Amino acid sequence: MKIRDIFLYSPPVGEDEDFLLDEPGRPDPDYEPQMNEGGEELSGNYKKDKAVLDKALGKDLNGDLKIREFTLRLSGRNVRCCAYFFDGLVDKAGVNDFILRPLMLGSRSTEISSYSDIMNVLLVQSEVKETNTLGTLTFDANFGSVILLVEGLGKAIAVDAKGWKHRGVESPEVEKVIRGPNDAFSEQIRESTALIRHLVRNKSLISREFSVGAISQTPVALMYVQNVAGAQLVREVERRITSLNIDYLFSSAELEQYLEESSLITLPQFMATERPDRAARALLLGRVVVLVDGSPFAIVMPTTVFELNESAEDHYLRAPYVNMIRVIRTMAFVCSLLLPGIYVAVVNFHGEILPTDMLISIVAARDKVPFPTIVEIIIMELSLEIIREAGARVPTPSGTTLSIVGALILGQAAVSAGIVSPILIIIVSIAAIGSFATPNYYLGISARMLRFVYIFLGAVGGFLGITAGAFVNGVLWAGTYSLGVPMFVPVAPITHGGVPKTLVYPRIWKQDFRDDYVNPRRRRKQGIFSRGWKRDGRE
Amino acid sequence: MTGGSDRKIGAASLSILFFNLTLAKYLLVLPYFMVGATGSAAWIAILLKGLASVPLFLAAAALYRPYVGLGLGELTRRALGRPVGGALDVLVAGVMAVRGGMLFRILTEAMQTLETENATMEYVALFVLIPVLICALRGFGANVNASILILPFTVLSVAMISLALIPHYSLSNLMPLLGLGAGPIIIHSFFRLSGTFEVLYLLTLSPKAKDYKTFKRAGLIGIGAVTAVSFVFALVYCLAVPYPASRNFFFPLYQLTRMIKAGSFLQRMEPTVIFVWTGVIICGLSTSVIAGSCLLRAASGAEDGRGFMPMLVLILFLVGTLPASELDTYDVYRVLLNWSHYFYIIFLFAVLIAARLRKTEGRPAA
Repeated sequence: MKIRDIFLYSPPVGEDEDFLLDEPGRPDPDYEPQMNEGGEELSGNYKKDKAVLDKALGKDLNGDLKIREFTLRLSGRNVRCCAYFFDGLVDKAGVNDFILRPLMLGSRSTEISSYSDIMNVLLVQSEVKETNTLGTLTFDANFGSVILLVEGLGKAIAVDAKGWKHRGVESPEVEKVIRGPNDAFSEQIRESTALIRHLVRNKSLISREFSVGAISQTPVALMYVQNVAGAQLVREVERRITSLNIDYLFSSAELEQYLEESSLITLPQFMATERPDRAARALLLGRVVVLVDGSPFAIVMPTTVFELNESAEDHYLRAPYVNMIRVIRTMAFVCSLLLPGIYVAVVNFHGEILPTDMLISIVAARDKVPFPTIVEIIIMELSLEIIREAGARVPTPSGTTLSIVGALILGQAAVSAGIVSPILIIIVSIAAIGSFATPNYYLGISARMLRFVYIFLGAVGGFLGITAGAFVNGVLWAGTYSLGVPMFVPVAPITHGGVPKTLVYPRIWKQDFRDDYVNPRRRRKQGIFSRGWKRDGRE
Repeated sequence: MTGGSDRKIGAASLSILFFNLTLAKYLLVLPYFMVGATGSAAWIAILLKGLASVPLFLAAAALYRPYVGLGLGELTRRALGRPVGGALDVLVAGVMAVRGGMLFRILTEAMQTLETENATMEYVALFVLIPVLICALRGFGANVNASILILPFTVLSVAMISLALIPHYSLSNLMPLLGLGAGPIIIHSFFRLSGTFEVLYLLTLSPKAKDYKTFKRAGLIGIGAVTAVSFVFALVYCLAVPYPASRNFFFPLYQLTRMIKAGSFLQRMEPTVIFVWTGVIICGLSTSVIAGSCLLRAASGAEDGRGFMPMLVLILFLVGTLPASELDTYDVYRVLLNWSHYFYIIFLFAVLIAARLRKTEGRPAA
């Protein structure tokens, strides 16, 4: 026995270790994952190619793989054909009516003299391609195509027949607005790109597509407006996406984490949106939007803290309303972050700042509570977090029960039992509501997390502790970058004309320029006199 | 396209850094010293002090023009040779640490008063020095950004204090207009140029500036802004607190805040301004640590100066613990402010003139 064996775990040695792979990581030949990127090609021999496709598509393993063999009539002779598709991924009626019927019956009623006529005359689908690369064929089959193997053609034909069941375009769940449009992205990347294209309607809108994930081959679309977005920004996003070396990707939330620079900072570094109008606006402001198939959220990059504090509705409201709402929203965020900590600091260290009457009432309310303030507030915050977490997981019919139980426990019973004081309920409630008022979900979670840190700092160091925490927090956040853009730009660092625009939302006709920190190719976004009907365009 | 602390910054950002660095001293202690030296004319002296810094800065900047991309530490080493230049760099970094240590001690004394008498200085120091170290380690960019974020709160708090104290203003407190006489005013404005020290910081951090023009503008804007704010603050202090009572307040900002009556809602305002002055001082101290590490890096020829930062923070703490009492701290700091500038001026111009005479090769900033 080696000395390190005393301290470190070693796998057992003996006959009963058969369950362990003798060489971890070595592929099991009987269960080798089917990788789509294989460069193997079809040989042109129908029999051999069929065997290859059978194996590649897992004929013996996949219950949902359907194979239909038939013959078509070509130049007066019968030619063997085979159609492969995955049940559920294709539109079966379409396959029957527009692929199998023309090939089996149409070839007999119409004179077909060459192989090119199969694609040019018989197959009426909009997206048909010939290929002999096995990787492409397996990918297409897994993405809703019918693969046709035709004897003597030498290649296979992939016919697009996507037809799986999916959610359509629905209303936004998270970013609801009153005056704006009410479309939201769906899980279908094609529908999502179409929603954006429908809004931008310009030939400069580019949607570059990549496959991410060696196994999942998830389609990812990188969208930008060619004569607006900075070339360096586009190149950088493309570089980051194409450099990913992962097996699978299911969601934009995962991709966001792969692309961000600081994974441990609580601040989200990209903005996720489910609204096509918001994504389209970002594109026209020089940002880049990334969509992931299977995810109803687009990632907007780069972003800043101030954009995270914007709601989708801001652009549809008049400037005075937006300014008022933004102040309220900022106060809500500050309350959700600091209020419980400040309460603890005031009660423990700085009671003198409160009016005597108020201080007496706080002390009287706390009189029956047996715990110190920090314990009291942590009990309440933890209860609230548990209820919130349960609320997110609980089935809808049980939601009402949870609300009643939560309200009773938090609102009444805890006070009656003398576990917490009534004023604490108010403090915790304001902080909780403040986090709901934060438009960005991740930013809200960030505030909820950091609140505990500030409670601790308030308890051990009073206002000084909170200041130290806020300073460190500010330094960490201010030193965070979103694709090279500092998160606090245009305030820190200061950019030309950025500070006034950030502090006071300008009237729509004064929003003449795109933000310079994203280096847009086109800086001005509206004419000097955007309101041509005014004599001088201004007020 | 990645972020980093090595990015170049513009005049506005650099001047805010300079502003914060200087303001810590100007707000915390300078009115007390100036009132002690010039009486009710402290506000005039502070205004003249700011104006007197301008030609000094312009002269230094003109001589420094070819070396903006080099930084003071590297320039000293190149102009005076490695042994002498390196030793001088270490010396200046040491003086920066001593001054920072004194400022740190003044802050912790005030915090002890405000927080709880039972808290030891070491305990309070934790809440100051850990953020200083983190801020310094995060780099120059983070430090600049933090300075910018604090700025509006600083200006707002000075403005609020000035407005809230209006009921206490009395023009008779400014009389006699020349205070203890024209002599002390002239001596303390033109011959005690404590602003020289901050110019050293600016020169040390000059490679971060985009170009010479940015550097020069940053210096001028910074001096102007600090002078304006500290002039307003000194004037408020002189208007609200009659001389010689004003001579007895160590920490004028704190004392002025105590005088504010905010009705029945906030009975005592001073804990609320902790946020501002602690933030300003932490920012100033971390800039000091960054500048010190730049000098030590230049002196040692090391590739990265971050290794020196924990040591510099430790020195801040140790220096801060040296004075036996708060009064001693103020005395030491007063001596440092009054006399050390001669050393800075001699050092600064000796290096610059030596560099020019020896035709030391510079490096353009941009």
